[in-house]
Amino acid sequence: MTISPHSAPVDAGALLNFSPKRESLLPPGANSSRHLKWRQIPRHVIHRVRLAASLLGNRASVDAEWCESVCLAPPGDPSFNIQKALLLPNNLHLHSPLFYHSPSNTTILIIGTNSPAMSNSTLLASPDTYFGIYNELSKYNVHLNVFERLWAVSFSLIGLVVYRNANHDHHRVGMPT
Amino acid sequence: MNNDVLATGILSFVMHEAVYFGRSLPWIIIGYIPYFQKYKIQGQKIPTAQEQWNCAKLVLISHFTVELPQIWLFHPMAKYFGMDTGVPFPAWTTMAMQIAIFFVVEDTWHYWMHRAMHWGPLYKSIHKIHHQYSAPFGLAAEYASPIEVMVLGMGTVFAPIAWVCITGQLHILTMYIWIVLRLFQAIDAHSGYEFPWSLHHFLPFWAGAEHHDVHHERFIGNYSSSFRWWDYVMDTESGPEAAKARRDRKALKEAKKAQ
Repeated sequence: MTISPHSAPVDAGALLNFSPKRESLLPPGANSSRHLKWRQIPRHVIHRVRLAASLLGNRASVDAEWCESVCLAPPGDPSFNIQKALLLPNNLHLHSPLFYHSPSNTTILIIGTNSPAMSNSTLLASPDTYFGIYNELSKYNVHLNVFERLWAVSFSLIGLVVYRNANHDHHRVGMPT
Repeated sequence: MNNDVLATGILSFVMHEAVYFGRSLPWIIIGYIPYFQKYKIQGQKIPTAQEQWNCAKLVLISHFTVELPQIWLFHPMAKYFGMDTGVPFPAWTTMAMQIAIFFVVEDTWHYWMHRAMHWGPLYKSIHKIHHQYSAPFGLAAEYASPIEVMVLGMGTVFAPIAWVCITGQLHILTMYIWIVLRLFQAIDAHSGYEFPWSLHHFLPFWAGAEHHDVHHERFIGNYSSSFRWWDYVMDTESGPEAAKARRDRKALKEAKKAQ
């Protein structure tokens, strides 16, 4: 499995373990790596790559374009400004103009990363504990109250956020070309 | 854990059990405190420890055989129709409005299904178990035939599913709060205690223990779960006051006819 040209020099391609069943649901002719759904990255892969950015919000979807940008874009890539994305959580079009129907209440949760590709980014913290994740998440999601942060950490740990996002891809308004 | 159905199934079921037995516990304790005796509606009928234990056993069986599958299936069904699990949470006003609607819908469902359960054949084959205790107590709220638990439980589970199916707006937190409040309502209605501070003194249309205890005592009338309006409108109120009002109305009608 290959990753987009923005891929970092890590073994992310090997980590991305596609489900054949899910892949078969892709549109004819679609490049599966570009149409990768968030859920198709197994949880352990997320932990290994320490990609822990989740998109929360009603009817939002995440696919390969954004995923690659977030977790695999090399430092200094001009198309990638995760800090800006964090500060402007509703401006997903900055990174993914092609496929987002981004509702006004969309929230990006950044939990941390230790991906080599991200080593020079602003997200150096790599929390391993529940409250480590909570603290990291709190830095970038100041608009959430304590209960919402606890909820988000709990649910992201059991993969529910991933599930929800992957199941609303019918709200996507465009496909990467 | 990367299985949302498993995770929410376990979470929801554990929450249901904790709330059900946790809420029943104060009523069990109150039963042993003489001070509260004056608030017992049917003061002469105090459930024994053995009765409560037998009740708890059947309730547990019912929870595992009937409610667990319902709880388990709820999440994927609601997700299919667009239930939200993310943050930020909905506004509290949104949640309150939705829960109020669920209460009204569930009450309507409960009234008609419960009333149907009092039809002879259904009563004998299904509902009679629930009426084993003519003076109910908290734990007995879900002491019923598995069929009854399933049928009446549909009002609780399918109201939110219908809502999210129609509107696409439902957060799982709203659902959890709804389930907790519904359990509180059911257990409190079966508590057998009427206090000066009971909710129906402040919300006259709220049913409460006073309303439901009469149903268990007389086996007829007062079929609603949360509110009193269906019994009022359908003239199925129970108790001496309702019987007197009914007699008065009948006498007035006959007097008018005679004139």
